[in-house]
Amino acid sequence: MKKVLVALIIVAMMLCIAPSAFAADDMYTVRMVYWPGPESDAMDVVLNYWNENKAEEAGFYVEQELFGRDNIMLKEEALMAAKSSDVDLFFTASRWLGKYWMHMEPLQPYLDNPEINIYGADTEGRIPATVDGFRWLDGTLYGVPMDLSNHFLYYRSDLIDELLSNEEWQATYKKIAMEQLGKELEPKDPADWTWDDYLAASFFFTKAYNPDSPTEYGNFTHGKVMGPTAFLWTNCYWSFGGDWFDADGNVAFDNDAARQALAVWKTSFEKGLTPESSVNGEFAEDNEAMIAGQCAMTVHWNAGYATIDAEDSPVHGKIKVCAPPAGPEGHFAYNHTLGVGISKYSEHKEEAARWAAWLYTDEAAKLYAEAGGIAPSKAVLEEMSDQFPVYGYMVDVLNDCGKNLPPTAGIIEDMACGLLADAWNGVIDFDTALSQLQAEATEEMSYWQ
Amino acid sequence: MKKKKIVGILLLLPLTIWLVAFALYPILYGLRLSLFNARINNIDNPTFIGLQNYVKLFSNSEFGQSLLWSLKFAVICTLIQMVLGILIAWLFQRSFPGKGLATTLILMPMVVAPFLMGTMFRLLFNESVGPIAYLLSGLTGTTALLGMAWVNPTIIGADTINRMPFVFINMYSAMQGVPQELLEAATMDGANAFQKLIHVTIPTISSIFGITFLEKLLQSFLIFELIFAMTAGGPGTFTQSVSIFIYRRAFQRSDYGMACAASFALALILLVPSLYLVRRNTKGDK
Repeated sequence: MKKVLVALIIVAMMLCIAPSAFAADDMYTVRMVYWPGPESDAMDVVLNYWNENKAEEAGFYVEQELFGRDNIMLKEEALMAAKSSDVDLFFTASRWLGKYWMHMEPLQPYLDNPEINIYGADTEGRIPATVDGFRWLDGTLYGVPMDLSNHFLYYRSDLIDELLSNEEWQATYKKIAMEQLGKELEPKDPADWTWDDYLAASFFFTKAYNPDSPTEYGNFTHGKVMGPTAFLWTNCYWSFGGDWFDADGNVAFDNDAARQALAVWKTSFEKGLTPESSVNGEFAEDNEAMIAGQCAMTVHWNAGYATIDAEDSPVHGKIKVCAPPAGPEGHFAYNHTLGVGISKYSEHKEEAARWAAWLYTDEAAKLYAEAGGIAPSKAVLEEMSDQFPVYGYMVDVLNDCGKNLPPTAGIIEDMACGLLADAWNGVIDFDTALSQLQAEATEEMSYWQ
Repeated sequence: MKKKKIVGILLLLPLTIWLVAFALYPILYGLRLSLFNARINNIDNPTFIGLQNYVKLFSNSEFGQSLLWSLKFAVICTLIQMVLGILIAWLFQRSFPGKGLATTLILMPMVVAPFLMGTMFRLLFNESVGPIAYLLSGLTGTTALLGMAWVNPTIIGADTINRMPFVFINMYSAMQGVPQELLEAATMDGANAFQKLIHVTIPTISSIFGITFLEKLLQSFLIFELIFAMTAGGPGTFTQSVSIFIYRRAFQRSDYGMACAASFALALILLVPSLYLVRRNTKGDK
C-alpha cells in the first residue's frame, strides 16, 4: 500500500513538472499584462498571429496575463513594488504614465536599434497625440498605444429630428428654456450645441418639465465616484477654458471655469434631468438607460456605441454621435489610450522590445482592429470605418476637437473624482470642493516631483 | 516527556511560520510604512516622516466622515440584524412543514461572497432595468434605490440579506442548547412565549449573543466589498466606509504610508471595544 502511495505521489509530481519539461521547444515566452475584455479578445488574435507566424523569426513567443479588469493597476503595483521579473511588459494607460514611468524602460533606444527592431517599425503610423500620451514630461517614450477611447455626445436622432421639424415641440422647447434657464434658445443640430442647448434639450426631454416628452429623462449623467466620471466632466471644464494643470504644470481647479462646468453637471442631478440613481451610475447603467429608451442623450464613452446601437437594441438606428457640446472655448472630446510598456525589472527586455516594436506596425494595428480593438492608427481606423462606423466618427471628432490629459493626471484622478462628485451631488458646496481639491492635489503633486 | 515536547513544537511550527510570515511581518512592515512617505514612485527609498501621516489623518475631514459613517452603519445594521436573527431563530425552534428548505433559503446569502452579492444587487436595483427596484417601487415610491435618498437604506438592506444569516445560525444553534426544564418552569410560572425569550432564552445564551454581537459589529464597521461593488463609496463620499477610505488611499492614490497609518489608527480604535467585550464574555463563561 505504501509503495503504491509513493508511486502515485511520484507520478503526480511528474505530471506537475511535465508542461515545462516537455514544452514544444525551449523558446522564451514574453509575458505581457493586458486589460481583460474586448481589448484582450482583440489582443488574443494578434498574439496567435505572432506565435504562429512571427515567433520563430523573432525567437520567442508572447502570452498575455489578464489580472482582472477591476483594479488591474493595484495588482501591477504589487509587481512593481516587488521589482518582480515575472512579467516583461506592463499594461498602462496614457493618464497613468505619470505614476508608473519610473518602473518602465524607455522604448525609443530599442526602436532605434535595427538589431532589435527588425521590422523597421516607427511611431509615425499612430495618431501623434496617442504616442505623446505615452511620453513622460521630458519627452521620453515609454509605451505602445494600443487601444483608443474617447467621448461622444450620443443622442436619439429620431427625437432630435422631430424637434427640429415639429413647430409645436419647438414652441414648448423655447418656453421651457426660458422658464428653466432664463434664456431664449432655439432647437439646433446637436453638433452645434453649447452646454446651454444641452441643458435646454435635457429639460425638454424630461417628463417632469414636459409631460409630453417621449423619454422620462433628458440625459444620463455619470456620477459614480471613479476617475472616468471626472473625465466626462472634463469635456465641459475644457470648453469653459479650464484644465487640470496650467501651462506650468501646476494644479488648476479653483477657478470660474470649474464652477461653470460643475453647475452644468449639478443642474442635471439637482433638477432631475438624469435618472436619480445616476449619481452612482457609470458605463453599464448609461447603456441600459439609453437602450431602455429612458434618456434622450448622454455624454458617454465610444465603447458604448456597439451596445446601444446593437442590432437587437430597441433604439438601433436611432442613435447618432457627435462631439460633446461647446463652451466659450469651443468643443472638446476627451480621449485616452491604453497600451503596454516594458518592465524595468524584466530579464528579457530585448525580446519585450522587439515585440513592442512590432506592435507599432500597421500589420499589428490592423489585426487588432479587425478583431474588435480600436487601434489608434488613423489609416486603419479610416480603412475600417465602413465595417465599424464608430471608427469613422472617432477620427472625425478627434481630428476636430480631441484632447487628452497629461500623464500626471492619474496621480490626482482619485481625489478629483471624489471631490467633484461631492460637489455636483451637493454633498459639499463648489467653493469648498474646489479649494480642497486645489490644496490636496497641489500637495499630492509635490510628492511626485 | 521531552519527545512529546519536541513533537508539540514541530506541530506548532507550520502555523507559527505561517503567522509570522503572513500576519506578524506584514503588520510590522505596515507599522513601519506608516511612519514614511511611501508611494509607488519612491517605494524603493521612502522618506521617514515620523508621525506626520497620523497628524494628517486626524486632521482630514474625509477620514472623520468615513469613521462616522461606518459607526452609524455598524450600529444600525447590527441592531437590525440581531433583532431579525434572534426572532427568526426563535420562530425556527418549533417544527413546521418545509423547515429544512426555509433554513437553507435563509442561510444561502451567507455563502455568497459579498462582492458578488454587491454586483448582483447593483443589477437588481438598477433604476432602468432592475426587477427588485421595480417591485419595491410600490413601497418606496421610486425605482432609484441607489439615488441620494435611498442609497443608505438600500445598502443596509443588502447587508442584512447578506449577513443576517450569520446571526440566525449562531442564535439558532445556541437556542438548541437552552435546557428544556428552564423553559417548562417558566411556562409553569405563567410566562408567555415572548417573556420566555427575553427572560430565559437570551440570558441563557448571553455568551454566544455577546460574541455574535461583537463579531457582527466589527464586520459591519469594516464593511468593504458590498459597498465597493454597489456604490464605491458614492455618491461622492456619501457612503464611504472607513475601509473604502483606506483602500482608496492605498490603491487609487498609491499613498501607502497614509493608508497604513489609517489602518493602524483603525486597529487602535477597534481594540478598546473589542478587548472590553472579549473580557466581558470570558468573565461570563467563568
